[in-house]
Amino acid sequence: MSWKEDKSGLRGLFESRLISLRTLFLLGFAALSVRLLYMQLGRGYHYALASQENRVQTLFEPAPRGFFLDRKGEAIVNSQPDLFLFFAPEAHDSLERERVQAHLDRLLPAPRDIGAGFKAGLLTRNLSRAEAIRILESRPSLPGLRIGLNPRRRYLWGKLASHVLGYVGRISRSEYGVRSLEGYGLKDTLGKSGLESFYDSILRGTPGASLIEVDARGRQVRFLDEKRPESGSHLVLTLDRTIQEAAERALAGTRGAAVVVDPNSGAILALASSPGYDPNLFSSSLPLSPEMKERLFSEKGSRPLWDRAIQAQYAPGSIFKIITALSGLEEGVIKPDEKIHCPGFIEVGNPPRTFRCWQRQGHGEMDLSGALINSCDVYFYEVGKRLGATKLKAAAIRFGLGAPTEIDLTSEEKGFVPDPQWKKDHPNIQEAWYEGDTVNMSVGQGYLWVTPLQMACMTAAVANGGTLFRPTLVSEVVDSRGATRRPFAPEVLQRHPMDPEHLQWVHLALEAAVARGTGHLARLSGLRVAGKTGTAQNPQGKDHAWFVAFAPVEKPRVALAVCVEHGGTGGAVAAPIARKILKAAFPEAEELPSPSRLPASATATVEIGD
Amino acid sequence: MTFADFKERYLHRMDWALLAAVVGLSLFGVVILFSALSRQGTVHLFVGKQIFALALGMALAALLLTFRYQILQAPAPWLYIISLILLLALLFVGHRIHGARSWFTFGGFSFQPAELAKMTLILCLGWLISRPSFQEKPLSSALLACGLTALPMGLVLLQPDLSSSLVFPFILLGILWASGISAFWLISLAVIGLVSMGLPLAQALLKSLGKTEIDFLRVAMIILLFEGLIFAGAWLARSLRLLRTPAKALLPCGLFLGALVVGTFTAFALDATLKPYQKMRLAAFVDPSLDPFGAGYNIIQSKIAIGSGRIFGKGLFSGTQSQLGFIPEQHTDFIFPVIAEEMGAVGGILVLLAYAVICLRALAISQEATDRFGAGVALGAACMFFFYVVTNLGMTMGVLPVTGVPLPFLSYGGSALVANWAAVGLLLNIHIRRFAN
Repeated sequence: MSWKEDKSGLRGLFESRLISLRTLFLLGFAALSVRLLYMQLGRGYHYALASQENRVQTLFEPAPRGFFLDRKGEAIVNSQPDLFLFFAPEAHDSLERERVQAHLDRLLPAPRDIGAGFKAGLLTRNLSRAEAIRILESRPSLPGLRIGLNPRRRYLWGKLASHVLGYVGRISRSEYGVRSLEGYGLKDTLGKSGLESFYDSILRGTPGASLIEVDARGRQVRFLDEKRPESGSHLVLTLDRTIQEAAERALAGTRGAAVVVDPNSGAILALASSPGYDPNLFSSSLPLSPEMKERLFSEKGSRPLWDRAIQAQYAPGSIFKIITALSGLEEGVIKPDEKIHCPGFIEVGNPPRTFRCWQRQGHGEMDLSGALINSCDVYFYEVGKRLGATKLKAAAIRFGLGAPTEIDLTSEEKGFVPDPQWKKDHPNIQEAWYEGDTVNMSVGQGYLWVTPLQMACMTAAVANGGTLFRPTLVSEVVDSRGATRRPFAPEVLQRHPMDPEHLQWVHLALEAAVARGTGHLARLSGLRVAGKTGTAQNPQGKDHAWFVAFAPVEKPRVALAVCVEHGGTGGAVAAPIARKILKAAFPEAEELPSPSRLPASATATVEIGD
Repeated sequence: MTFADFKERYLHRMDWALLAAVVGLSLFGVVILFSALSRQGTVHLFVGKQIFALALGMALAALLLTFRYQILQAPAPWLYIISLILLLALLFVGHRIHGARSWFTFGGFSFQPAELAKMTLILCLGWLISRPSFQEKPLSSALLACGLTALPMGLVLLQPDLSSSLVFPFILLGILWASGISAFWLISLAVIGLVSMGLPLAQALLKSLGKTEIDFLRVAMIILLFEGLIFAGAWLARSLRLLRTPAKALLPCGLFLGALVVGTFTAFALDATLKPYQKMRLAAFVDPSLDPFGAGYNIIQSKIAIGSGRIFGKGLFSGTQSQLGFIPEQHTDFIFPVIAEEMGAVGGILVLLAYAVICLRALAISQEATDRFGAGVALGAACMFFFYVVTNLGMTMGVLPVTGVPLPFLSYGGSALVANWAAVGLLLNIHIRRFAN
């Protein structure tokens, strides 16, 4: 009758079908339960970590890089925040991305493509404050767009001391490979040259990080934890901005270098190389233009990145005669008042070779003072002959030649001082050392190579009586809280006290060389300047012009070396540059109206050369 | 009716387990909705609407208890036709949300006719299998059932609302299976349905993948030709008495052929009429990885939410995945991850248990039903609930494709809540009147 009591086939079939359905249901619920328990109990830890990663975002905050201050404590390099815009996509639907893109296009003058996919990317750097504020104001409609802050290195005086300061840039792959162990990250900024590179670990500081809880749109919900970045330490430099500026101005238009050092401590007051460059170029993340690259890196642009003060090596020419003179006196091969005849040439060796004085007709009878004043070659040929190669080399070494000065800059060249053994072993020469080589060396020619910095240090040692200081650029390291971390102490590399009488002779002779000799274009009234010109012959072209000086003679406070590559004679080219630098160092000294009051002979000498 | 009468009729016969499970889920759903929406300013509006719908659904269920359910048997086809008309009207006057016309709106309320249609389909199929003609001609009745299902399903698909349409064939399969139709026919029908539905989907997928090297038309032609040859050969062999093939083996072949034709036609019709984003939707429905920023991301976040709940959960209102907005659609399709994250395995298993009680009690009610109509309706409801739970939970746990099927009694959505409560009302009615008298 009724469906329920009908035990016919259909009802039975229904019952059995219900059993299969019930089985299916039970299996379904069992499977769901197993899956749920597997996810929550079996893999719960994994998912809990994932949810933690989801919600917690670590934002690294770069540490402000330490500043550079000059010796008066005035900032010359600082770091200024650079606002940049980046896209950290958490938007998962493409419609929303299109909306963000459209909105962004309206806000920024230059279109930025936020791209597709989950890829995060930098959209633009150097955002102006106005742009940043506009974007921040529209943040709710720009999910995923964030504004970051990166301190940008600013060289406040542009080209000033560019070679000393160096520049910074994004760490390269190879640099990262070397320095990753020191805690450098792949996106860190690294000092690439100069002090920026040498003191990078002190300057960089420790980056901070904040842990923030974010929602699915990347919006900050709350701070969880924060570690403030620790600013890098500031460096107080020994540089005197006035002198540095004067040196650079005086060198302008030349290829050359000038180094000014305090002979009592080795502190560098100025270190200039010409031409210079503006390190700010590298702070901007914009790629360099091809013209700029041409100017910065090619020979045609005189290689402005090259620091001629420490990396260029030239023959010293006549400025080496100071070493020859002092060595002759110390070794006792000459007496200060001993006269040597200069007929305009000397014959050396067997078979004899003629070495000429620059003054073809000869200087006549020359004592030490006259020889230094007139830069008589024959006199020093004779002294060199008497000293011999070994003693001459030892003297050069005592004044720091042939070795790095250990200045706190990277890539310093160490110059070269030859000796007989070297000459014999040299694969391209393989010759015996002739007396002529010694003679050549005694006037700073031949195989001698020096850097302008070495000559400044040598001059300082002459000025202070034989102490070779390690030249330094940093007088103090001040940490971000203002505490002095590393006060500067003068460091002596070599000390070879000299007979004060000998020193006196040489100082006076060098003073006379400026007052009425080859270096007269470096004269200043009211300041006793001692100096020596040098004109280094070289196979590449015009002579290199040298001038070294220290002042005041009675109590030297400044020693300097000037070198102008292929500039001509030292007296005509380098000495006036030195005068301008000295004027800046001693503002109380006065320029002489004109060299017309000078003895005609001295003027004439200089016109020809030395 | 005296109280004793009422007690005798209702309280003593009530299916308390089913009722407890449904009431528990519904109330829990309101609480969890608070948590899921707590980030939004409109939480009270949403929860208020949900509570209103819950009250409406409970009232409807109570109303459905007051009369013998058999009263619905005769007008079932008419109810079905009304819902068809509503679905049809929807295509012209429906309110468009997210590109689909799925809603009638009046005032602040909206109504989703697809939810009504699934209930009337259950009633109508129950009516169909309880007809005497069903026992005489089960096969043609089964074909009629397919047609009855295809109509509302097709109309829902045209909105286009894929997720709402999926429940229809599942209800059909369940009822047909229980009605005793032979497994052979059932499988044949299922395959045919899959082919006719699968072809347009496959075409949409291939199109959006940009695989132009696959010439869909040519593939379809080759299949048709192949099938035609088999069919013609079999027919020929049979008519020449070379082969003693029963006629019923040929029928599915012919039907299959027809399904191919229909499917191919639909594919081209869809291709010509659907807008690109609608095609993309179809394609993403077949392969969610086509839309990694939508479905792929959602599933990852959903799984993280569920897994990170661990044993006891992060506490109500304290789920980081849910409260920080990592879970998409967390008040509708992805409500379960919120529960599992905040209440842990304890909450998740309790929810599963409640659903198991509902589904198994519905099957039991179907078994106890006093007539075929009641048995069919209860079974349809059981299959409907089971389908929702498995596809939704399977989706949130990353084992089934993303279909956008809501979770009964928990997901936000008034029409669904009312319809589900109506189903519960019917189930309780059938249960209470399980005795012949």
